Amino acid sequence: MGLIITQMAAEVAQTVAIDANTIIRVAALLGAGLCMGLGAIGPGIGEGIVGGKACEAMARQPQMQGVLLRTMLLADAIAETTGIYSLVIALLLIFVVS
Amino acid sequence: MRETTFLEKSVNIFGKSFSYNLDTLIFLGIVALVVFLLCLWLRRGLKFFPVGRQVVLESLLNWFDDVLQESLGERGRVFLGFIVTLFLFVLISNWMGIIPGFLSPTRDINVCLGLSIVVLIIAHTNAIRIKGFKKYLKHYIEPYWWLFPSNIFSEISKTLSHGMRLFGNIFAGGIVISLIPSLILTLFKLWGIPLVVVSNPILQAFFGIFIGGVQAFVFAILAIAYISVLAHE
Repeated sequence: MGLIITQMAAEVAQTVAIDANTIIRVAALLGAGLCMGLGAIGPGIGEGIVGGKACEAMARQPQMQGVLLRTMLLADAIAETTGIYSLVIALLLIFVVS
Repeated sequence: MRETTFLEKSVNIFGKSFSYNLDTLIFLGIVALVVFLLCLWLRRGLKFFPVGRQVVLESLLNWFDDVLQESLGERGRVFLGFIVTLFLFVLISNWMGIIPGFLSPTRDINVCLGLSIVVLIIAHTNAIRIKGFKKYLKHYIEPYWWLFPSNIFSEISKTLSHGMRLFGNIFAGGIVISLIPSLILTLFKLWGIPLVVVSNPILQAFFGIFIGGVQAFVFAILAIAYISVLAHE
């Protein structure tokens, strides 16, 4: 895939004049998209597992709902951390680099 | 986009130039005033049998009191004022973005990291006070001495992720709220206006009220968790 992209970039560069800044911008925006898309996989799976297990536990013991809900939200927040990191990197790429 | 830009000013102190965001400062002042007035209003006319607003106040305080006692024991009740203030402050600043013309101050990374650094200082001071300075230093070389750099890094990353979580959620919510109406308008041209009218309150309700409330709650709970992790022997 990298080869195809380089080839396409070379072809485009022959027809349209592209300076270094444009290439950097393109790379940064592409990187931001990839970063966010790949970084959202892990937290999605993790939060899904946490939510599902919490639902099972609540169905088994409805009187523990308050504690379970609190623990679930806390675990969700912790699982989200890597997603937030990738979001911050994507924002840096969009607003600082490009 | 208004959500991603700040009114940046700079000031000269002792020949060095410091920059600050004027709008963030103004909104922070408003939030502090609102929290102050809200608490003054909530505590007016307290009765033995709570009615009306006193029920809200008491349930909030009781809830945090229970969590603190569960995780820190009896001595953890000292932090009740701090934790509830933190919760109310973050909650009001998250919800402020819903009002047209206002922006949440927590979309500024400096505010979030500042709040998390306050929590860091309080957690470490509390650990030194409870365990004594020697035992506090000893927890850095536990379980093995060569894990010292890893322990230092874990302290730094805890604070960093604490602040970044709040910032990332609020900032991303603001971006989505401001991006989706313009996306709909470019897709459907003028026919998209009714769709924007319908979708905007839903977006505001989800990203403003729901995510803002959950993040304020998570921020306060994580502050308790960090304080109790360091205080444990």
